[in-house]
Amino acid sequence: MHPVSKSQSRLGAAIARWGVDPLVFGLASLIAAAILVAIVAIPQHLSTRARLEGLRAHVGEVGHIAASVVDGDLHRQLLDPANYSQELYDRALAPLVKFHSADPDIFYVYSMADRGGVPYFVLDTATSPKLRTKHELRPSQYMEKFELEEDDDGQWLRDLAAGKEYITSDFEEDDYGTFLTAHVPIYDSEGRYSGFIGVDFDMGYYLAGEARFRSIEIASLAAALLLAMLIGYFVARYHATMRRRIKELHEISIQDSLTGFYNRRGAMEIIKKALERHVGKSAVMLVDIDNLSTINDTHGHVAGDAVIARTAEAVRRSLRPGDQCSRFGDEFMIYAPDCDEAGAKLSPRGYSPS
Amino acid sequence: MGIPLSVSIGVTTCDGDGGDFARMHREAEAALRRVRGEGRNRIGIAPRSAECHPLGSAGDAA
Repeated sequence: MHPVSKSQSRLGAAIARWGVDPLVFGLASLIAAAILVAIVAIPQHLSTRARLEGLRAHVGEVGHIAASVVDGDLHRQLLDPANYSQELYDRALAPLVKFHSADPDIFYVYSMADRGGVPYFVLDTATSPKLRTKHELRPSQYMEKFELEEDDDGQWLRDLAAGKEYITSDFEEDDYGTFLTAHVPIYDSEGRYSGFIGVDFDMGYYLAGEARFRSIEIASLAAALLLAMLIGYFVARYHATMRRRIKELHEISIQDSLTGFYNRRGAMEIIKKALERHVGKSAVMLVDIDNLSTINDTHGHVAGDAVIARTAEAVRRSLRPGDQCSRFGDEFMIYAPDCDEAGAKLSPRGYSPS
Repeated sequence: MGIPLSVSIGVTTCDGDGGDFARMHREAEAALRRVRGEGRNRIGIAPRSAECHPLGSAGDAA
């Protein structure tokens, strides 16, 4: 036997020891698990997405604040490398350094210029010795080209130029950690688009919080699965009880309570099936108690029932294993497989119930 | 219990796998009716039918 099949049959045998059908238990548990896990997991997933969306909105706000501290006119001058001077760079950078130093959860604060669909770094707070940060940062140089990913179609750059903010839809990973990025347009005093600000927000504290949520999620899912197995067990128990009860009721419905033999309905069902299955010689005998109606009329039905019971005992003694007997009214019907005419003549010997 | 009791019996047999419940019941009942008509406390064997006894001859062994 295949090892998996062997372990499955062992599992089935273990479940069967609980008095339930392993298949019913498995199916009921599976359906209950699907429903319960959906009830537990879907709200958890939606809640996780809602927390992430909340965080994205927060990062977007941080990006807007960062964009608001930049002097748009100075930044516009820096878009043209011909205007660059260290003094101009430092003046434009100073408010961003103060802003960045105030928030320890920010990795990078920088600004960029979109030159023909290619982003170039303009300002980067990591270049300033005045920046107070807990992170080790690699500064980007003025007009350092930012390499776009191969699958990046630059739509976000066009959206920024159109005045929309851009916040990455999910976490990004880099050497320095996990972060969300917000990009927000910068405008000069005349309202002209003058590049954009970028803020890489550290997700460390958020992920630590999510890890706590995850342990709650795992515990809820484990509880849901346990509950599903419990439901499966009770459903299988109920199913087994119902099957047993139906079988008992069926047995009662095909049995003659006076003799314990089959009744007419039982005879029709059992003997008909036995005849269909049997190949070879067989005999059917109808044993009729003589004058039973007279006995009933003379001695009463209690005496008549006693005669039937005594006759049934006599018939039962003559039955061989495999013979089937039924009683309807004052007649006994015996089906005897593998019995020829000679055997059928012999078998009624001793039927005399008196 | 002091009541004289006897039984009458109708028998039918089938040699092959042509055993049909309704037919065999009918044949046994006919054999029983016949012996009850002849008196009580006896056994009646149904005639051998062609369906059940393809190789045997028809007859009554009552």
